[in-house]
Amino acid sequence: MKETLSSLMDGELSDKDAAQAMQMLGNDDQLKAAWQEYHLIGDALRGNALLQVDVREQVSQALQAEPTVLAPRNLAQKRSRPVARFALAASVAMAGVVGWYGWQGQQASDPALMAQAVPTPGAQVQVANTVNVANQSYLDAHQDISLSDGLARASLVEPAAKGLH
Amino acid sequence: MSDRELDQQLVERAQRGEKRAFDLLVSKYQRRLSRLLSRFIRDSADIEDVTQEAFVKAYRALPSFRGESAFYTWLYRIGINTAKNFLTSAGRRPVVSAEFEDEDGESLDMASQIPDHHTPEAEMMNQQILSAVNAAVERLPEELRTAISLREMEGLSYEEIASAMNCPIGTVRSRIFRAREAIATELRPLLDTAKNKRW
Repeated sequence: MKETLSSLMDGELSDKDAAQAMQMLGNDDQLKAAWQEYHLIGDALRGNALLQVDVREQVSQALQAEPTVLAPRNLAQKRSRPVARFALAASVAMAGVVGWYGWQGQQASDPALMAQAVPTPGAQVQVANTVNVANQSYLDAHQDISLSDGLARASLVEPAAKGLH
Repeated sequence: MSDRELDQQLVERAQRGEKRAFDLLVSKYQRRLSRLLSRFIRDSADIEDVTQEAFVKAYRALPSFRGESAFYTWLYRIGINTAKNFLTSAGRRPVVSAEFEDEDGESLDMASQIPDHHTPEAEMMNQQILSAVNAAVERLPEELRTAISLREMEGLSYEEIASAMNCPIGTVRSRIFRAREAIATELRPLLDTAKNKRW
């Protein structure tokens, strides 16, 4: 495992292996000690003149008094997720299309229902979007804990759209 | 995964509440940040205090870190501001005032001159660590010494080292690890001694 740690330090692991290694590193004191030693060796070889500085313990103690940071994922990452946005748009569009065909089929097969007030397809899409906007901040704040934010958003929007049928 | 991506991963873990991930960033950057701060602050105990304070401030500011710059560049700015505040509150002038506004952490950080204002004990410990590392490197078999030197001093990737040493990447990986372990083994008794006393 220490050899993996050595490669991790050098940026020579795949994303998947690096994620696994970081997980193990966080839970293993021996690996953490090796992480510190290997970095110290690197600094010494590069001629750092302040090798004796060690504030790990003091910082760690100071952080114990700090509230745990829980930050939403950064904006740059959110912007780099077109799939999630596409999934949301596709879900809303699909709800509109299904609603439209459902309404037409109903109109053709059951003339009695034609007298009832039926929302227009435009109204369906508009309401679905309203649901989306209303939940946007909630979804943004909690997308990190979902398996896939695109899936989560779609599943939250669809029931609202279905309820219109 | 590059070094910057690795830092970003650790930052994201810390942002999700894993304080241990932030500890790893402290381990990695504490000496580099201290060396930078030693350009502005005279006393070694003050350098250590400001380094510590800068890391705590960085932790508090983590929610605002968007990954638009490298973690160290961001930490560097926090370190400089913390040093400025320290010097202002202490009514002191920075050691190198002309470089204070320079935000290029890399260029400042490349200088490796030993500050002449450290306590004798701290300076002795520094020299002992340096001597132990250098002696351990000298004792390494040549292929390990070359591999670790090309990695740590020249900053070459494993692929570049493999090409330079005419061997597979897996061999480079193994040689660098073995070199680190050999040096660390010689260093541990010294670090254990140092752990028991504050300098």
